[in-house]
Amino acid sequence: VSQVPALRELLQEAAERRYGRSRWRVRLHRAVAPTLAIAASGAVLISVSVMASGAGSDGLERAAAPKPAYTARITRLPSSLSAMRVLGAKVLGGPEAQAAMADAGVSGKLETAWEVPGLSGHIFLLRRGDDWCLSAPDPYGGAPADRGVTCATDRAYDRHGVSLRVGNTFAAALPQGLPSPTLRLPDGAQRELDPSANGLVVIARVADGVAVLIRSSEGTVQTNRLRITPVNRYECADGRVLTPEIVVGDPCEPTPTDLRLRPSPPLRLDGRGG
Amino acid sequence: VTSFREVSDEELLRLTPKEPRAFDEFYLRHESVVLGYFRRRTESADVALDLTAETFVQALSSVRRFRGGSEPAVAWLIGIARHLLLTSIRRGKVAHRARSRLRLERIVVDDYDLERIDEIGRASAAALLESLPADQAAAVKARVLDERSYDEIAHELRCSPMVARKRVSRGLATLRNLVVDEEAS
Repeated sequence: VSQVPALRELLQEAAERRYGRSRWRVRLHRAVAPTLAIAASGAVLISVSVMASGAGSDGLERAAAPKPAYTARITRLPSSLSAMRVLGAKVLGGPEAQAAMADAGVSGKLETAWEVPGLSGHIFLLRRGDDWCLSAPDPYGGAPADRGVTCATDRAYDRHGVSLRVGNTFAAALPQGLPSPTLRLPDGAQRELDPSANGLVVIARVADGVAVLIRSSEGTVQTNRLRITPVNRYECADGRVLTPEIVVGDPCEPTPTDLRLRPSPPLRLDGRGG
Repeated sequence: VTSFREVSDEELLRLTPKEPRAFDEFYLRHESVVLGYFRRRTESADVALDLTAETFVQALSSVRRFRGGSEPAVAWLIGIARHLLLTSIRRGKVAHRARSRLRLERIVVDDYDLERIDEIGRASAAALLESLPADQAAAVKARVLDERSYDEIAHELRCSPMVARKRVSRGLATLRNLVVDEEAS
């Protein structure tokens, strides 16, 4: 029994808002559940009719069928450059930016908010006291408020901007006047990155061993070496081959989990990906 | 309907992102502890209630960052409470950032609720501790009331820090059961 039922009730609502199932999952569940129910009914009918037709006429009770193993083989993939993308970004206007900030539950004085097609939320550059803070969504999180944040002092920001890695996303906000940063691939090859509006660089699905080099006006170099969680290749019993980024249960298992998988888009390094 | 009565505190926090109702059970278990903690340290039941709300909302928002094993979940919760209390005293106003982020409405309570919070604050912690075995009572008092480190407790009680943790954990679990029993009777 709660001493303060009003607080308990508000907390329950807050917990549901924070962690409750997202609407699309509910819709997906509603869409799939009737189909599964019909399929299950059909399976029962077939079983009954088979039994009635004497398929098991040897008089012995049949052993229950084993649960199918959906995944036949798992192989760890070397991190793939083909999945990596440099994303373009658009600066959000005042009301839109404030709404996005409230939605993400981010605090601080907003300097710039970006919409980044291909990310599950917005990126914010904020002032907190004398610090510059960069907040970016967690690609593996389920809600806009699932995000990472990092801060840099005024002096550090002036030299190399502020950057962070959240999951397999890298983001950097650079002040005006800095040279363009460089992407260094695992084989040592380098490519110049072209920051989007207001100095934002975003790389999604970064490959292991990649580094982003940020040069200050004085010529000092900050090297951001990126490491990511390896991806597995799933060969399914039904012949499909999957490389999911987020694994929930057995990826080869039929709906609804495999509806969450998305194919990896081709490599884009022109800053206009999305 | 899933029942969380038999689930450990640590497991409740772990389950919350998937099963938000698990946090309700966690709240029920520790509501009195947190209310009492703040009521004994603040001027009024109103302030204690606001700080309690902020503490639980902050805990709710950061359950994914909770790492079980190093300390019992209630110690983590009291750590949040202590931090909020100090921040609020320093700023001269009750912290409300977590509640704003989750858009928690203002809590509407009546005089009866506030009286109950006062009672929780007046309840003697010593009386509850008397019901524990001496070694557990000493460990809980040192950790929760006196806010001392496990190393210090271990030194004083002449045991290892691991044993000190165990005693605190067991003592808190026993206290929780006692409170539940009292409410049920």
